[in-house]
Amino acid sequence: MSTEKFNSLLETAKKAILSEKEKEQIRFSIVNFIKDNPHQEKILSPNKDYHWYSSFIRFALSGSTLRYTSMSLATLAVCVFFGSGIAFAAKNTLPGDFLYPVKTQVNEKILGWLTTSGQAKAELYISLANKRLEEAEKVALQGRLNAAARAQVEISFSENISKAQLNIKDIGGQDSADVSANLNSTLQGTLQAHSKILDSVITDRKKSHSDSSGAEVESFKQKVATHLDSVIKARKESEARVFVKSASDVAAKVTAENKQKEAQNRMQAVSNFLVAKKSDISPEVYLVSEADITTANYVILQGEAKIQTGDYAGAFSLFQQAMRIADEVRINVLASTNLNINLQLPKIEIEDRDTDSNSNQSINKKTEIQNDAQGIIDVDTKIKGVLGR
Amino acid sequence: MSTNQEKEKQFLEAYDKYADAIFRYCYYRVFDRDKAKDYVQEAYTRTWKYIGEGHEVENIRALVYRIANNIIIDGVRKKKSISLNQIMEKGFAPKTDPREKTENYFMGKDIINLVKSLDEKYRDVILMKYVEDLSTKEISMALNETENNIYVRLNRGLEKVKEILRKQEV
Repeated sequence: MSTEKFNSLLETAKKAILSEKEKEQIRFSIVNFIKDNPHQEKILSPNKDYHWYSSFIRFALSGSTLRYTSMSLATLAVCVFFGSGIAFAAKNTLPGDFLYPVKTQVNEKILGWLTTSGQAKAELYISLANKRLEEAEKVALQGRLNAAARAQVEISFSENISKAQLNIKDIGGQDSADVSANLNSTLQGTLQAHSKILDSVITDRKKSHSDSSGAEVESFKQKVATHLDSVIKARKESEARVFVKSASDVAAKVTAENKQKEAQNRMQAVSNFLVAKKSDISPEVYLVSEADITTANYVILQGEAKIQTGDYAGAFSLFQQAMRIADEVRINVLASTNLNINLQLPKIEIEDRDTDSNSNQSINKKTEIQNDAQGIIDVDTKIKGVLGR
Repeated sequence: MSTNQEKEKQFLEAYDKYADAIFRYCYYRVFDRDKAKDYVQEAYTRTWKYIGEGHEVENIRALVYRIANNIIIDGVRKKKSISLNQIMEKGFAPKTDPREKTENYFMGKDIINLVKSLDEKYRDVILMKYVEDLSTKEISMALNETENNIYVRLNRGLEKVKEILRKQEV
């Protein structure tokens, strides 16, 4: 009897599983974690004679967001020539430091050689552009962003943006339009987030210091704004291309629905991330980030409504916008953790899809959406107040 | 496909294949669905990090179990023990078919009674062997014990299970 009972209990116990939605949400968080924490490839064979070479490469090229593939002997020769010590010393340098050019012109160039596909290269250069922005912010807060340091970081930053955009354009393959649109959107989100962080840095420097570094930060911020304009244009063009290539209405609908799923998973991942980082950030940043997530979820709802009316291109664009908001929240939270200032970040505004954003019609429509979103945020805040959260 | 992409693909395949099992293992240790989900995610991200540090992985399934086990131990140390009623109030691993709801409720109580009555050292091996169908070798890798120790624990654990079930029937 007890054996039968035991077997019955086992059968019931095995029924405890994750729902499809839960499984997918966790999977998406893991995928994001993998993207943020790529592995370094073993460059050479396990032959122990090359051990010190591969150790050097690991020192020289380790970084939290960078990937690379197999290395040719010629490239290895370059690394050997420069010497493992210098490359290692250059790894954590900032603009204005003596070995900073080694980092940007040698270490990172090698990474570019090692990455093969257009998509991987584009991702690498987007990641490097993000790194330049983080470095500029750090150095600006230290009051060290003088003209020379600004020029250094600006040149490298502009180069990374250009290379990212070039590689995005060159992406081939079946889903190239979707991949290009995604990468352009990621790049836009990165630049938008850091633009606001730079504003916060400028305000902080003006309040507490009388040095002239604020002018250099303003100048760098202008450069970021210039690139942002071109990236927004490229993103809109690539989104338009996604639906030009669609063979039928059914294909267009599937494309929009896939993007919807991606956006929903991204929102869940960033919500989990925000909760995990709650104790590391200020209450103000946490509240603003929460409000931004609510805005993004509202944008997703708008997208879902567009799918119902058959405007698949419009829906796709809205889901991409929601994902940009999620990326901005993530960047803001990381900046809040890493920079030692009280970040004053404005709430993220819903973008207007129309090209002519100055027309009265589009301004009214934008205001209407903003008001709806604000209404939801206000209710959300009230509920949280009642629940004592 | 590059080696890195292949590695990612294999890792995610391991997630798709074992996520439910890891979830179950975590759930029957903490009896909290949300916590079990968090532990699943953490187990896989830590496994990815572990592999990234250059460690050789003979059996990824056993590795994820081992890391999940460590996460649970850390979590359990911080938390006070939870009563059976509190567990049942949270809801025993819900099933969608309403006809099975009542049966699940009572089965759920019995499972929880059984699991909570077992010593930790027997509970882990019983869950892994009989609920998750891990081999003795995999269990030994997951718990960092010799296979011989696992055999002994399984035998003693089963004796305990029989004793508990006999008492329940009385």
